[in-house]
Amino acid sequence: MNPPDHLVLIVDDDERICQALTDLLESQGLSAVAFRSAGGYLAYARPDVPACLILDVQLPDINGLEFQRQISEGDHPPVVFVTGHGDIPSSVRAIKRGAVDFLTKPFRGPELIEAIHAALAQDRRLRQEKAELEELRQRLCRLTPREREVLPLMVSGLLNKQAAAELGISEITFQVHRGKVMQKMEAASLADLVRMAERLRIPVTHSRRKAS
Amino acid sequence: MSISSVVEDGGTDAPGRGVGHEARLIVNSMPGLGWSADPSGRFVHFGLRAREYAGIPADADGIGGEDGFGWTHLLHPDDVDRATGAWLRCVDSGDPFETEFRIRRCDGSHRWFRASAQAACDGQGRTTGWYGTMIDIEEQRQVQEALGRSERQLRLLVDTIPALAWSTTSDGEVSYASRRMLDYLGLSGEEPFPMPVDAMHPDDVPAFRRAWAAAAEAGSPLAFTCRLRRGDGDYRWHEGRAEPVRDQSGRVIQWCGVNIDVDERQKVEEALRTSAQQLRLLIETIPALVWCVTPEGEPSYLSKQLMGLTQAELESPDGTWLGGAIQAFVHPDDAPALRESLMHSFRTGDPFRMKYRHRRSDGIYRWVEGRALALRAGDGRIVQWYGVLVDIDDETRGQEELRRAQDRLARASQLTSLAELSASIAHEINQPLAAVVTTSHACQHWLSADPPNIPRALAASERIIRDANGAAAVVNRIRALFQRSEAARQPADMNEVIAEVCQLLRGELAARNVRVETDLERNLPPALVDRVQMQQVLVNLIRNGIDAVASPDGASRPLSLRSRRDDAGRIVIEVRDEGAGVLDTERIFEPFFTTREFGMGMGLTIARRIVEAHDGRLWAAPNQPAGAVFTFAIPAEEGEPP
Repeated sequence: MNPPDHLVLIVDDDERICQALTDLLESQGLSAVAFRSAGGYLAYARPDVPACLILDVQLPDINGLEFQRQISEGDHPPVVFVTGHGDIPSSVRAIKRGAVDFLTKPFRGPELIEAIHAALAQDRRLRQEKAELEELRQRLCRLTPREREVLPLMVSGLLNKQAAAELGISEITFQVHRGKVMQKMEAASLADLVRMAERLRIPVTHSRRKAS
Repeated sequence: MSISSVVEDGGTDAPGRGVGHEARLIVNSMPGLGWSADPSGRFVHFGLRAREYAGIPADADGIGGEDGFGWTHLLHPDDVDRATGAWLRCVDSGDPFETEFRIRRCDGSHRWFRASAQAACDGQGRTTGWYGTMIDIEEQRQVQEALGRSERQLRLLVDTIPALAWSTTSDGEVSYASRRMLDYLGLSGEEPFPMPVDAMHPDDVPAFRRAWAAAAEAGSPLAFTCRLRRGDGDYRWHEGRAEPVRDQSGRVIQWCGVNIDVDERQKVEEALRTSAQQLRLLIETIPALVWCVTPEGEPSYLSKQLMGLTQAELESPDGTWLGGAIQAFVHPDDAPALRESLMHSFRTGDPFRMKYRHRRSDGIYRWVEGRALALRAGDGRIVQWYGVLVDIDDETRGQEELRRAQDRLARASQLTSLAELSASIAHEINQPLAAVVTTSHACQHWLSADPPNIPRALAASERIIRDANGAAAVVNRIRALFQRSEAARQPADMNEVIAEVCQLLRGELAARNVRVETDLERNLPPALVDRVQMQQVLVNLIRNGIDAVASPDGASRPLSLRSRRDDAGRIVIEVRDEGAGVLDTERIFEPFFTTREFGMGMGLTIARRIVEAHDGRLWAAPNQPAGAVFTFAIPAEEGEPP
């Protein structure tokens, strides 16, 4: 059997809930794996596919909300909370920390499926963005030190003359570096390069007006 | 003198007749009862007066008898041997005869005589005869005997009285010590008397010397206390008294005194002193303040801190020490209740007990528990009140915490069917329900798939049945939780249950400043109850009572608890308050009825259910003059004698 293109991770201490959720998700063609505790989930070697995490608020080893806070720093899929009895402050906290949804048991099937799909979509998008960013980083790594000095000056919008003066090199030399940067970063236009620099959080250090 | 001259004169004559004739003359003229004897000691003549005395006819010859010793028949039988022996020794030695004995008078009575005789010698120093006389000393003898008896009596007296008797010269040298004194000192009486101070404990000598000097100076009676060394070396405490004896001119010639052994008493007194001192030290050291007051409210003993009342502080409204003390030491919020409670105790003699805030010397108010008990005389009259104050501040604060925790717990258990536990119950039921709903959706999907996945749908429906049954089981379990089985019922003394609840609520009562007065009938028969449930009922009723009477200003009225047995043999418990009272004595038992800001209004409902489950009744009625009385009656355990 081919590895699935997605995975729903379930963490709930109640065996019956785990079974029911797995069954429901499978009936919808979704791959699911269930864990009875937060520790079991952490120990699992997660496949590198879009995923989402269905988290019970009352876990045997830790409070679900606290667990969400702990994993928020790391590389974990979006969370959908389910709880026996939801209260407004808890749900607000969960959503603020990025939970996709906060469902109260017993939940309606479609509602849950919808939330799972939303979460998977979000994870796909995140994974996509992350992959793109990773690609841009790869490209950035290919630049020489001089080219890495040239890039910020380019995206700052300086004239070639100004930028060359800034670096203490001739305008011709600067134009050569500039061409290499555009080529290595696979940028179609200067606007494209500016967008890339933004995603790579390369600061705009100079202003054309300031220099003039 | 005349005897010897006559004898000497007679000595010139031929021995025998001449002497005999003269001797008779001499003998008759001698004072007393005269007599004469020959050199070998045989009686020759017995004077006329002697014959008269003994009743011997004048013509009867030879009182000396055939052997010259007939006279001994006249002697008292007890004196015969002694007198005869003495006489023969003198005759042998020629020494003058001098002895005393009794002679029978003519009337048969005996009188004492002193007999004396001397030998008469011739020129060559040979004994020619004896002349003697006997003087009547009967009266003298009687006086002497009386004196001897009286002295013996006196000595017996002195030696018998349980004291050491002694006398000294005016200089203080011991001149007499009674037998007891000698025995005590371990002396035989042969050796010279020691100086009085020699037998004294060295530590006591200076004081004795001072006392002696003062008494001698003034000639006044002497009194002293000292330790005297006994023969075995032990020192025992003695108390001495002595009086001076004066001569006719008034000069002190000696001192007579007695020492009485007061060792036991002294030791008891010392032990008492030590124990009193220790007690005082203890009282001042124990972490509690102690006070004793007379029934009139005047202090008879106070711990140091309580003594530090200044005169200004004593100027209380009522001018008494107690009033001043309350004003000075008791938190103003607690003072009225304390005063009332104390006055109540003073009036009735009931023990006093109250928690209140007491001002420490640094001005900080701390919670203390004050208690006082009355000491009664044999006739029941109160002679003294004994009180203590114990600092319970930390404890009270701790208890306050504990109480809050208990409160939360109690509240949770009160609302088992409703609030706090509803969360956990909801969770218990929700889990299987959530599984059921979720699996139902899955089942639906399996069935509506194309083609339908029947095996998975069947598996899902099986789990639905399983989980739905699980939910039902939870509900049953919860119901069982509320219907505590009757097996939990045990015979219990309801007075004990009341005491337990009072103990449980003690902190709360103190915090709310509510006093509970109990009037419990002795020897209540046991009741078959679930003890915990009965406690819940009482806690509920007492809490209601506290809420009814407690007031923020601290001047709350007491709550009264009463137990008794009614005519039907049931056990009746009353909780009576003088609060605002209840408007509708039935509605208050309805669920969710509450007059309070917080509360579910379930307490009385549950209490009534519990009492009814015990075949009892719980009802409310107005109290006179104000407030409400909640009463419940439950049957006593069956089979018990009424």
